[in-house]
Amino acid sequence: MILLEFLIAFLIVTIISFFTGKYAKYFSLISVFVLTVVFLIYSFSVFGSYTGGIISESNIVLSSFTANNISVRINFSLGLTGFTDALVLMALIVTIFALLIGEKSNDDTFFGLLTSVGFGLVGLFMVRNFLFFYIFWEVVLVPMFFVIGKYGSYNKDKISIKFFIYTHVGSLFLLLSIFTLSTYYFLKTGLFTFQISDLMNLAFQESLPKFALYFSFFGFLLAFLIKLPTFPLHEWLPNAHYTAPYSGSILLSGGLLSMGGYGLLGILYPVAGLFPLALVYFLIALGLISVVYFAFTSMFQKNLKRMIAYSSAGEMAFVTIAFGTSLLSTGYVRTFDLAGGMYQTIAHAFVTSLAFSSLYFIYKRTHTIQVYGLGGLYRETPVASSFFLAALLASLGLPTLAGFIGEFSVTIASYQSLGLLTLLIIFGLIVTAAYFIWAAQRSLFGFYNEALGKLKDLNKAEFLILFLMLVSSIFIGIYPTLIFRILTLYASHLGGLI
Amino acid sequence: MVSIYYLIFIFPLIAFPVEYLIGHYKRKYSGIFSSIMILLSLVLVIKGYFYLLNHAYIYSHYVWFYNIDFGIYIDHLTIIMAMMVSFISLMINLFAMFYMKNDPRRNIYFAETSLFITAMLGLVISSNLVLFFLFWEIVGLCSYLLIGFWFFKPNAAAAAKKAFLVTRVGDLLFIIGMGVLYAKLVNIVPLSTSPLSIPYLINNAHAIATAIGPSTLALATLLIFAGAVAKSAQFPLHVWIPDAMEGPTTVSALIHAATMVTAGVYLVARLFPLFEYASAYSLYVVTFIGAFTAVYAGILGIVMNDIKRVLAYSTISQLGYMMASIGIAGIIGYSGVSFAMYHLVVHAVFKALLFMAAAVILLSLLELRNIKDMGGLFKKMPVTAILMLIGAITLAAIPPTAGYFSKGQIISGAYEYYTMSGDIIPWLLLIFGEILTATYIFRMYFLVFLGKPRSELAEKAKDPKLIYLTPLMVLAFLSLTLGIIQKPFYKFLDPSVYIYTPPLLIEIIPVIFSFIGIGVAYAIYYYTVNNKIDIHKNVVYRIVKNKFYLDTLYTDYIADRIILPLSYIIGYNDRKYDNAIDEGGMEFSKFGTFLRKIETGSIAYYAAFLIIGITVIFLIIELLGVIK
Repeated sequence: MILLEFLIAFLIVTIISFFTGKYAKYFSLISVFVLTVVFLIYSFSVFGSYTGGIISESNIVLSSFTANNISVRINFSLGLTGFTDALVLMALIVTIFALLIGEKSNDDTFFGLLTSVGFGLVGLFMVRNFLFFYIFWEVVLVPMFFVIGKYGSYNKDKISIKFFIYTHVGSLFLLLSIFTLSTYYFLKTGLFTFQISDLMNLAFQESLPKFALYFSFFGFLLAFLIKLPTFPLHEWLPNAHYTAPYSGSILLSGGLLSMGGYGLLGILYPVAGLFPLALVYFLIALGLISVVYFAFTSMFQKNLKRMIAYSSAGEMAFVTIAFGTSLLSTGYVRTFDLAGGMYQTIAHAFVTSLAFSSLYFIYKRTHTIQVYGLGGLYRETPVASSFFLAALLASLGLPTLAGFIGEFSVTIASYQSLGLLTLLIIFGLIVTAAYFIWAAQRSLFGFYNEALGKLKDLNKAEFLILFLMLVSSIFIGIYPTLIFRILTLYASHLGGLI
Repeated sequence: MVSIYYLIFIFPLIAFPVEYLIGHYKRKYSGIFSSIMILLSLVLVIKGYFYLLNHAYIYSHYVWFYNIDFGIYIDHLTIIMAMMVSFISLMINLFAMFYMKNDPRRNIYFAETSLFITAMLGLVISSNLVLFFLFWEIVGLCSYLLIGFWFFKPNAAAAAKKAFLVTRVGDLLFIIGMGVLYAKLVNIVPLSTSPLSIPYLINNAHAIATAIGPSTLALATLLIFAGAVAKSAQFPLHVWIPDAMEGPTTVSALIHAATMVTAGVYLVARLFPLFEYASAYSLYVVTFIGAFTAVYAGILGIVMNDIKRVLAYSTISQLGYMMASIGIAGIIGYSGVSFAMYHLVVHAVFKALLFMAAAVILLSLLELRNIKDMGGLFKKMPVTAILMLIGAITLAAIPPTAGYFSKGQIISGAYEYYTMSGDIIPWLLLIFGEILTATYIFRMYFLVFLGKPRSELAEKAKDPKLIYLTPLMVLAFLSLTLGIIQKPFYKFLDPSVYIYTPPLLIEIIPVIFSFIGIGVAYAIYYYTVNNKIDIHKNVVYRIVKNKFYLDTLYTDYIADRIILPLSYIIGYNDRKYDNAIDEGGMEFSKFGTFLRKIETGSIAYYAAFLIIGITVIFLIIELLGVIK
């Protein structure tokens, strides 16, 4: 029941934070921090002896009746797996990061919206019922729409609407898929339910007519791949990032993208054994193309924020690859692959938080994030530049920083099913390294752009924020086992299902 | 089991933040703390050496994540390498306290070098390839930071970028090499053993080769070798190292002698059993690339005018000797690896000496690096000149310096390789490299030290206080005397070492060639100084001067004409695609506006639509009925 209470507490916090006036930042920060600590203690106590599978279900029957062999049951059920536990923790921490950056410091609506996104994410990762899954899916989307539309910068009206419609198309297909599955479940068993464990069940889905099965796969994949995002469904992302305030970008990248990863690896994977082989290869191809494609598009960008946005999509492509290749592989490698993909989903949030935050502090000083508008920044702001450099290095997957473990695991493990096609991943990673290092050279090193004038380096508070992010990123990079252990257990549980 | 030897890399790691903070508040105390920490590491390594005199190895490991280990594995090869790294780093660090005395950012310098040394020591003693790779990448990162230490120089920033990217290419291929091993081994390793654990790989190499097939193993080893090629600056990925001279000279000394380029050679030596049991072409590639690089870089060294670049090409060339020596070990047995390691240690000593001597000169000449503007420095700075001479004769393998013993043995080994396999090419390349070595180093030496000063700065040059040169003197002493430990060294690495003695003539040839090389160098020097011949129009000279156009191929063709346009095309079309989606959305909303016109409010219209609609529906039903 503790999850339910946790969620209710979070909801109350979210609602209150809309009405806290000028204390909004402190209130939301402190309360989310307390919630995080509570959740951390909870995870340590429960997941210390985790063995795989779903734990701590709490089922609240909202509506249930039976008549004439027909029954309807709608439960509000919560539960955690190794993966979702890590995801919830990640969502909480990312929310804290976003609140810490929180640019509009006097606007309680802003902080309320950010907290709502966090609340939506946590709820999404916890629920085990598709009806509420969908509700939380939208709970994340709507406040994000307002964050971009109300607090965004350039062209915010148009871009926020584009963001909303684009991702909403995916959501609608998700809803259709859910209804398809539950209708067929009703036809089969006479029970009308939305429980994920019932609907995402291999035995049940095997008995579905092919058309219905593929339609539901299509809907799920469309929704998740848009969120991830995978080439060619990515166009909402760079624009949304470009316009969104920095704390919004952190949540977009750290929160919304991991929804796609969760959807693929956490929701869809148990039935992915039914995927036709052609679809699996298609997904792998999409992943490989995305790695290379986003590397090249990032290289093209002149705007550092857009560049990071594209590269974050490139990092998430590893999740698609892991999803596909683990279906082809067997044994230990499959587990390694899956766990690596999950780890990438989580680590990615930390990497991009660091990147957007350090970029924000540079933007605050220089008022430009165009590569050619900067130059030689290291001279004026060595500390801020060092953090930004660290963020770039983390994004290119340097060991000891968060990005490495996931990318490494996926690359290593995918060899079993891809063979030397992994060279494509490597090619993408080389290009990635190239544009990040190139960007660092042009913006941080070399001659100082005197037009920027005299700049002040980070103050203590800003330093602490970035330091906190860097430390958490390093922690994830060099001590992975804390999270990797539960991911592996869950991954081998998943691998056993198919 | 917690092992005290973890401290070998933890000591310098502590120095990383501490040096930064100390130097931040009290700048003049920079470098002391890190030197102490490196000294402690050295002491610990020596303790490990004595422990290993009657033990086989030290091994301690924990689970890092999944079935990847975190731990240390120290055997005889490791301890030699660790001793070299910590000792040379200590010497360089002591010297750097003098060299970096006036740099305002010296705290950052010492913090970064501490991390650099940490990473190198960690790499040497790590017990798992993944952990090895982690340190390997930090080495790359630190070299990036240190090469770009003077970040305000655009050249330095560009060189740092180049170093990072070129080594990154190798590193990523290395990852695939590990992927091959992992995918093939994960189902056959004993329970609770990591498939990428170094002791497992090297102790079961034969079993691994039979289980996964020698050709698969060859693929894995070659991919791993690609990592070594990039890190150890072998052809064709050597292009980063001459540019990497933009950093402080002590950084170059660290990179060239102790902490970076030797990592690649060490990797191949470490995993030698895997290379040995892989298909024969795997080690043949190693031999050939090594021997070819030895000559290739030697040729380039002759035409360089930048004192540090000459030394850089010399490093590439000498690393080629080491690689070749490991390569021929496939035929002549493990002793080839011992030869390579011995040369590695000797090379580290004299290369550190040469670079630090160069640093003294550059400090005195205000970073004027063109040797054509020097000259006559023998009289101006005699101590430095003698120290550098010792380094130069050691490099040119003149007896009785240590270089003679270490390199001579490699060349003899190559001859033994010829007698056993009938392949004489490596020997010919290496022996030819001997002339080149003596030529490029003495050309530089003569141009720097002989004759009259050719610039005002050279006029004013003078030796620093002798106390600052102490590390150089220690290294010079070692360059001259390390030859004594040649045989014990081989024995320590490989108790059953077989040292082949070639016919006397073959043994003498290298020495003769070295002297020929010095003669050639003097001739070049003579003609250069007296402007006798204008070779700038010579085609061969131009090709060599442009480094055989390899750098041009990478930067002007691959980077500028393939990667950048590709990014432009893809990025541009991505934007067009984005716009197309926006326009599609616009069309859609226009369609909505159009549909709105139907809503006129006139009942006649609605009725008409109703009737049309019903008709269409019935028609469809009728048609479906017809089809059935």
